Amino acid sequence: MALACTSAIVGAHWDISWHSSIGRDNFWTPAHIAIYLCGVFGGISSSWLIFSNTFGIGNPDRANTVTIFGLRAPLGAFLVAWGGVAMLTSAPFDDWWHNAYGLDVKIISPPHVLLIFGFLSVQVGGLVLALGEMNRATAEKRALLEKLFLYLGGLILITLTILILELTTRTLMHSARFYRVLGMFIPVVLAAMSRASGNRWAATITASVYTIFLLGFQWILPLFPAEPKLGPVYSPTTYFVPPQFPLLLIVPALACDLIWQRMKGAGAWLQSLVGGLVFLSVMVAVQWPFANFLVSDGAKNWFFGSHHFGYYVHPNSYLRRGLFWHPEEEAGFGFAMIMGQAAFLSVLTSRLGMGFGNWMRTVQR
Amino acid sequence: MRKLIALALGCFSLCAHVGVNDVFFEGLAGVYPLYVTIRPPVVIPGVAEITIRSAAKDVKGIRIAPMTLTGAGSKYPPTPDLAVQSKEDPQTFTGGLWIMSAGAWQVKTMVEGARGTGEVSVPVRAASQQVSTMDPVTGGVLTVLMILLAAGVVGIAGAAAKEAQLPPGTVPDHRKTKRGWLAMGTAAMLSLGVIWIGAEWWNAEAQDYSRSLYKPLTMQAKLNQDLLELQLSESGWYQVKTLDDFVADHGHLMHLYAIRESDLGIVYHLHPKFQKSGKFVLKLPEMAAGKYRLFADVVHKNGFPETLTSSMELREATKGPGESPDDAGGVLKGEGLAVLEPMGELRAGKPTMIRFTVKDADGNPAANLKPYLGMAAHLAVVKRDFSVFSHLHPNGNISMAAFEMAQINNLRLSNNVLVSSHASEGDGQRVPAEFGFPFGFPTSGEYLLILQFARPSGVETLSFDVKVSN
Repeated sequence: MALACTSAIVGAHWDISWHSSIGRDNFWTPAHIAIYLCGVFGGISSSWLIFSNTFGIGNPDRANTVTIFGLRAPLGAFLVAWGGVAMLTSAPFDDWWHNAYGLDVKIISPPHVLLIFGFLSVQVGGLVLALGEMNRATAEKRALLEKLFLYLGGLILITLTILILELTTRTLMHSARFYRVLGMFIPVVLAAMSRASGNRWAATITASVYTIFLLGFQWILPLFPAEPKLGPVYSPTTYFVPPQFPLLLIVPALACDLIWQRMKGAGAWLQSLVGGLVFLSVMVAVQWPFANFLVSDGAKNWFFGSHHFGYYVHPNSYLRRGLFWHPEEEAGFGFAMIMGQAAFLSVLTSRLGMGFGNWMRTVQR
Repeated sequence: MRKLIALALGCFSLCAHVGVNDVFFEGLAGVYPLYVTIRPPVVIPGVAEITIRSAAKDVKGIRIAPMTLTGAGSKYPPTPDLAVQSKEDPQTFTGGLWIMSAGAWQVKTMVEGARGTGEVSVPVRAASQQVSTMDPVTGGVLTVLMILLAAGVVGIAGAAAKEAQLPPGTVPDHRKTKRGWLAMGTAAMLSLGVIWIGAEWWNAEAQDYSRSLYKPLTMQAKLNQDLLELQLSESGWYQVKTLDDFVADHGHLMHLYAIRESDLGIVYHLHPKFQKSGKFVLKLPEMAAGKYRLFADVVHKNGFPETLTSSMELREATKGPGESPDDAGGVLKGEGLAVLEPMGELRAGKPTMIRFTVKDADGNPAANLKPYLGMAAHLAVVKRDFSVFSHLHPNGNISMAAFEMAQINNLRLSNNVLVSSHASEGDGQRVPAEFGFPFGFPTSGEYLLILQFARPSGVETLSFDVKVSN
């Protein structure tokens, strides 16, 4: 399951890079295969779990299963199966979408969101399968499963950052909406992983998985040649264009771990309130000034990668000119309003994450 | 879904625009004569289908690349595609190119053959033409999958609340069972909510897309005695267009065809003058009374051509004279002065070549023809119900202004322009008595071909009827 999820993560970033560098693709590109293999592997393994447990084949441990519409399997298997069906459903849906409204020009479209939710469900299913085992395991086996669990949590974080990729480019890092979208999607994972695993550094480890993967993509993808196969070409490229430098999520994640370690006896709402606000304030404190550096010439090197541009990036765009975009709605009081929403969402999603983490901690089947 | 159907019906009238979506071009790439057919996608972004027929047998390969016609995107061509050579007809090459945005594009065509290389860029107008509806099979399959996924969410939520936290082998008690039902109910409500949000999102995307459906500038005609005033205004199409950015197409900012509606028996090819932003005026030449359908061709400075439509009612005949010496037309003359060469059975959508031979008084090919507006001849193709109008030259149905923009980076510019029947007055070039117009009739029905060419005595305007089958 971890392999299938890794395949999809690599495939997704490969595919995005493909669209930024070559542009043209078809269903059978290696990147697409890597993504859909996740659905296929997930579908096959979960189908086997459901089939064998339902019909008692291969002496499975039916005591560790749940029942859904007469079918028996561990809960995680059903989540993986659901994700597989959702991912495969998104394929004909996406194909029709292209014919009706044009080929891929943006990530956030209904069929793409269905694909990402399917993928997330496969990952969460993997988490729940690992948790069921983990919560029943001996200490030695638990340590190994915990590593797997945190790794899968990191992959979920990467998936969510793909979903919000268009809303988190460096040109937006001085806008309140950038922090609002982070508050909406990131604390839920950090809090859930922290609660469910019980590891003191769960949030930091989860964010580290994200950071390591993104740095890997950023440093490895440009080593491979690629050239645009459709126009208009505004920024010629001769290699696979990587994603931008990873968000500094590791810093607020570390801050959250430290805070939650010191608030062990406190209620979930209080922990969420403090954790959410700490996440947001530390994120602003590190990402805002770092963004100044990212748009500067100093970041245009192999390490930070601010000189990589997709072929479609116009020379007059904010990205090429190294400018920050300030939305009209954020003029005057608007900025404070949206930052207030960011704080509210950070707290709320932290609480949701804690609730989900608490539930995961008690999963037995 | 109802909204989608409504959009599709709305599209019907939009799709019946007077221009023709497909591009038909004949010209030279270096020394190689080509007939290029480009079928732009009806949904943008989408794939344009390209078919190239070389008249020469020594062409070894053809590469094609899409670029915007002007601006930053016209500087860097993407990696060209190698067009696929037909096994049945080795002189035919086909390919598909992605057109990623609406606007003025060009297909850069690079030929390699026994006599060296040659290039020509063919301008293409790309704009969304329709919104598709979902076919029942795909709709049925997706609906079943949606119900399956929603049921899955409900089942998973119930199992998560009822059994997942129980130690292995334990049977859920009444409280857990109740929690399971509660979770299933909540999940069902949430699923319905998500489906509703998804449907709203889908409709919003569809509506947003419908705004990208191409709508030409609107044109209103007003008559003040014999002065025609044409007021142009934005149509609401999402692309920013200005009303004062027109470029000259063989010498004029606007080419206006006025066709008498009652019988299509009187046609004028006129050239209103630009007065101010969005306004063209013209003192009419001698014209017969009647209600006229107006078709005005203009080209924006980015190379995007448009055909604007309107109508006017001339209650009394005008006496003229008009202002522009290039204005020509009148009661259409029939065959005799020129012969429409046999084309066989005409079929909708099929590329063809409409060939004429102009005769002199003795019935021989005319030897004294002059260029008219820089071209050997002009041809307007009009469907009798006015649902199709296209203004052609021997190069095809491309705008000559856009064609010249496309050749800016083409080293063989002069070669192409001269040999492609783009004759200019005074250059000493003889206008041949035989010429052809590459074209494909978009739909079946009865069409009128309005041919114009110039003799020393003046411009002749002739008409020919053709029937096109499916």
